[in-house]
Amino acid sequence: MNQDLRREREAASFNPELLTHVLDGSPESTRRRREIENLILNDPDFQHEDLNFLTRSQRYEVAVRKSANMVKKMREFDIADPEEIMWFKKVHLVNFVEPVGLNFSMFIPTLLNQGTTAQQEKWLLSSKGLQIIGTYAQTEMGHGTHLRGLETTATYDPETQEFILNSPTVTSIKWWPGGLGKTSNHAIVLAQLITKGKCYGLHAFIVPIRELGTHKPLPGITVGDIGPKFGYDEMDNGYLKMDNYRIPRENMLMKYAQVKPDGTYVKPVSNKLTYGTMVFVRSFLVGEAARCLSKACTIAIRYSAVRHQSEIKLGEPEPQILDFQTQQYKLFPLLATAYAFQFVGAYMKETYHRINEDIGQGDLSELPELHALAAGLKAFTSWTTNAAIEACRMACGGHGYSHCSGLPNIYVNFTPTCTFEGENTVMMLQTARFLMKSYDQVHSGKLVCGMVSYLNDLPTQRIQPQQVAVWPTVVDIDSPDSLTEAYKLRAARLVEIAAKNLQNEVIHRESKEVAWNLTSVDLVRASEAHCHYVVVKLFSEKLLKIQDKSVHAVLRNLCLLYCLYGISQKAGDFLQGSIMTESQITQVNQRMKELLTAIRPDAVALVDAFDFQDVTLGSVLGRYDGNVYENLFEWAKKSPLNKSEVHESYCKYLKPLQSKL
Amino acid sequence: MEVPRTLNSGGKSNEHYVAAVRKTFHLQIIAKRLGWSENSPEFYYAYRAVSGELAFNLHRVFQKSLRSLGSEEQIAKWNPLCNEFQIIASYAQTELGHGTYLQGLETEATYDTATQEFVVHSPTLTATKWWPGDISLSGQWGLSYPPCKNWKAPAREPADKWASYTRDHVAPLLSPTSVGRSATHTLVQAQLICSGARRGMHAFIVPIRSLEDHSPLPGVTVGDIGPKMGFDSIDNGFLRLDHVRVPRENMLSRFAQVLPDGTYFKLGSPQTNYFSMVVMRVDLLLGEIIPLLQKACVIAVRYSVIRRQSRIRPSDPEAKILDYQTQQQKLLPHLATAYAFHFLGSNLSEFLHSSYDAILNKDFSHLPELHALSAGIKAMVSDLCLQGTELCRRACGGHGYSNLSGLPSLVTKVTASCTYEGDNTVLYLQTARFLVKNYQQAHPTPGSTLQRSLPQSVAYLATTDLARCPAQKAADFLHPKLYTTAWAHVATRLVKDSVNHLETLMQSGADWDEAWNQTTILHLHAAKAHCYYISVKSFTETLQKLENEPEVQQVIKHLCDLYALHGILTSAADFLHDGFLSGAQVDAVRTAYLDLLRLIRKDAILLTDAFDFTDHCLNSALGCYDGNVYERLFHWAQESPTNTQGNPAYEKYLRPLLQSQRSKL
Repeated sequence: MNQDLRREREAASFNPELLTHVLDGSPESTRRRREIENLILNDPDFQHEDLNFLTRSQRYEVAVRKSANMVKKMREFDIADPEEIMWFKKVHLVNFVEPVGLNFSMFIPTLLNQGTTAQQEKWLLSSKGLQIIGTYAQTEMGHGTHLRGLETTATYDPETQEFILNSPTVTSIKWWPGGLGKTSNHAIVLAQLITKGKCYGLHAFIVPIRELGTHKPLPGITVGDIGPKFGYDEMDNGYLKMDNYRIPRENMLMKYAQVKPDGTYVKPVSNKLTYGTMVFVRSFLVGEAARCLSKACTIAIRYSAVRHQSEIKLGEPEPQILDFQTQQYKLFPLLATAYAFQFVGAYMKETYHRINEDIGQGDLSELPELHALAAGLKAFTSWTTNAAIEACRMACGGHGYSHCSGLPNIYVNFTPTCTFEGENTVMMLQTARFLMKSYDQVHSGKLVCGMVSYLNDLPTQRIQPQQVAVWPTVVDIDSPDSLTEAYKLRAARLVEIAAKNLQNEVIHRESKEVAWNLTSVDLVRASEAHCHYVVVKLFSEKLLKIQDKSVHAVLRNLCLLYCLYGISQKAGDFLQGSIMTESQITQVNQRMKELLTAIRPDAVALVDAFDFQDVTLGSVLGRYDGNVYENLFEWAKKSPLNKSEVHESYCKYLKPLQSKL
Repeated sequence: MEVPRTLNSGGKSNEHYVAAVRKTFHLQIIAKRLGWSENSPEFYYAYRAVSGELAFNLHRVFQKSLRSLGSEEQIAKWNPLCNEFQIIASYAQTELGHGTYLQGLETEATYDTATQEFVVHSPTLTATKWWPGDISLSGQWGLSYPPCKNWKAPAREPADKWASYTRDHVAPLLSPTSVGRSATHTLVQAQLICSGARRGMHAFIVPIRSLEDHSPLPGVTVGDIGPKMGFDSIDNGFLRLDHVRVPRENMLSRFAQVLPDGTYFKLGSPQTNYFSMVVMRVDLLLGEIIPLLQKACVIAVRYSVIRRQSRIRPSDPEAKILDYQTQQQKLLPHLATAYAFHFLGSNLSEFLHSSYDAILNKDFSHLPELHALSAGIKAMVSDLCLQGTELCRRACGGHGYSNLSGLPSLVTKVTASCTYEGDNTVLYLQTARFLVKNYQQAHPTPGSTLQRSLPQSVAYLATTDLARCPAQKAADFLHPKLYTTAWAHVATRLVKDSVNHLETLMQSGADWDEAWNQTTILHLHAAKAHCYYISVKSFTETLQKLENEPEVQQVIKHLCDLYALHGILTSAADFLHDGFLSGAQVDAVRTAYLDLLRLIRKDAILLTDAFDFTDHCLNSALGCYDGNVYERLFHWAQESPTNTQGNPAYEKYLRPLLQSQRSKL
């Protein structure tokens, strides 16, 4: 092992294994996770060449091979619990993009949620067994977040009892669905239902797209891959165009809405339940942000302990770059953020399951808040993580730019999280809608509960209306609880400002909607402040549950750093709201520097505790043993461009250049 | 509609590389035929037209280095060979284990008196030259070419009148190239050892490949460093030298010489090295980095008036996404930044040019200021261009993730610029050192020497300013003098603060190096504010020069206002901290800012058209001039190799899987 890393690990103030248990939830979960990881990582069927050296077509092929193997192995090892499939298989082996993934994550769940018993009987077994490979086609080339704008039509023909599917315009071509381009033979297609001359809005249809046996596109179907992307090379995101393509009436998913053989439309009773899947996916993405950021931090911090550069004191040997204050300032707040998001991810997962049980018993009361929280936190964590991964990459200097660092891949595969499953700005505005509703509710005299309960305490709600600015506060910058209070005041203030500006615009504009658009910058700010408060609150509450003293001490430092860093970044809000004074802000900056020094000796152990195996990190710079340079050289030698000493282009272009000029 | 080849090559860097070599080859032939000289406007235009996807840029850098560091005889010998492409040159400075810190480089060149040769050697693994081509260190060579004189673009149609303001300067475009597979010779930066002493870094011309069959020469191990985030067309390389011998004449000897008997002597000032770095950075700003943000803005703004999403009012059709306030807030400040940086780069280039002759005549008085300015500005520009380009990409939603948008490749290029030619943090801190020094000079401690006048860019550090901003209402913030003063105030306060902390630590016993490392976060902060101040000031100065073009001046003023106010809101805490702005004033700034978004929204398309990029140059299905976004997207996707070639994965893996199941069912 590299001497620097060995010394770092020996000098740590706590046992990283204990912290790993905290992150996984329990020692038992850690054990089970490692068991499944090893099962896969040690399996020769999953070995493959470094993806970085393959073409896109080869990468796709490797992914399909692994997907096919994965299905066989899951049967073999009897891994059936969806939890374990979702949280372990897909997640902990990231860099593992599955062309058949949507069959399991979207096609089957949609069939289960929206299909009748008969429909489930017909399609479930064969899709579980991958005789049918399904995907989910919603987004169109010209339409994304705004669902009602989708143009694909499904017109019912009572004569033949069929739906006729059409993509009437270029913009209506289905675009982006994963696995649609080359892999899938069926798709659940969202289309505007038209029957008896009337449009009834979006409904889901099971559409065969490729012939079983030959895998050729069926007549009336135009299907293909949408071309190269920033990342996700292994995924055949596809397009789908349908021309008078007919499917039987039974292919419309009819658990809720129905079309009778004669074309009569029967309305669904309620459709609130479809929120469930969205909330689940968004909660999951919060955890995904935490994992991706944790990986990036692991790579950048280990490498910063191995890399030496320049001098701090004249004449001394080159120090580890982790000893530079600027490097610590770049990385440690991100490390603290990674821990914060880990705990938020765990909280979202628990909350989802708790509320899901309530929903099962018919109690929908907590769903709106969870829905708003999942939307906002998905946006908040993915925006932060997006920037943070890139910061980690740049903290690795030139080598961070090479694919050997693994960081470009983490970045390009994570960044679509800001866009998919609800574009982030739109998500923030959904959270804002909930905040405004809650604000109005309090204003009309009703108390609100949950994470927004701070709105009950707004001074304007009290008998003597007064500016928020004169709230008396004494913030103790060494107490996570007190800092949580400060964040709460900031959120309350920004929610109130947004609400008032909105009211003001409503008075001056012709419609509420125009007013909403003209306040949307304020609304997004309010949502961000709310989410920031939630993260800080969850992190400081987590501290109370940590038993081990040394682990508690180091997590407390991280929590403080997370809180103080946020304050220093958003100091304007805290100053303008008189939540903190100028001299307190100066103290915050001073204390932050002390924390950087305090965290420095534990930095490597803190990333070790994330417990990523080298294969999962996919990084030469982030190797556990720290033998970076030897392996970097070996890695480069494997580049296909080095296969011959003289490249073909020499004879083609360079040699003639020398004679022609 | 021709499908751009680079987009659809399926991510194979090999194809990118071959395409780049091919294009360079043709460009050289055309240039030769039409008689374009190096650094001519024609060359710059040609580069701009092909979007920089070229090989051999370092070949020219090699030549420039040769001409500034080489003796007359050396220039006479090597320059014609380069011109005729008889040799293909590159150079190698950065090592596997060493980057920014030059003295840390390990490669050695030991003089052997017996044979009058240098023995060039990589003693350790970490000494392996890595990234050569990385322009990062090209600046060490004292490049001695002058930036081209100002010249105006050819007359344009009236609608394009802004274009001429954005096209004032010429900069040769430089990109990392080409040790990996192309180069036959490399300029190697190595520790010179002669007469038993180490003499520091010097440059040596080392032949690395046979001129007959291009195979590596004995003792040379050379190759490509593997796939990167971007720059697929460039074969960044590694180079290991095992006691490779080169004649004594191969050490570039304008400023230092080794005599046949091993005697070493110096002929020049080390300060000239600074100058070459300055020139390189200024060239990079205008020739490489800023156009990337400009292109991203063109693509995102055009797409935002084509794309419609949701409704603002239930009764309306779906709205153009640029009509959403949140979308305006994402894009328009970056459009303003793209203009701000263009003028900043141009003004810096002008300053450089006006100091150029003096420096050649060994008057180095402007050099420290030029160095500090170019370092900080390069850091700020690349930082903010990265932020802006990435934001433009994400503002295009899902399609921004597709390579067909042209945006991912802009992001991967601009992000590299934060590291090469000096890591941004290191550069900011170089500027900070200059600020600290000048602040201390302007405010001498009692008893120390008298102050002399400060260089122009930091003169504001010595002036006393207002303690409070006099603005009363939102409209007051639309005055260039007011917000320039505000930025000067904040920059001064932060510099003062960082100096105070530094001095306090030193008074309590810390030595200078330790005190510096303990206060670097503050220095970073101060340097950033200083650079922003400089950019605001430069923008307002450009504005004044536009007096004869009132229409253009008006629209540029909106951008200038937006740029300055966006900066204030982003750093609101710095303005609130000492009460320079009150909370109510910050609210007024926000009001003025939101109004500006609405005003600029109207001119947004023309403001991006004025950059005058051709569709070919943008290479984007989303950003094309005619706005036929969706047709183009569909067409380009259909031509993707994934669609035109078969699907072997189906036959190999999917079919067996499907069939194994069917037999069971």
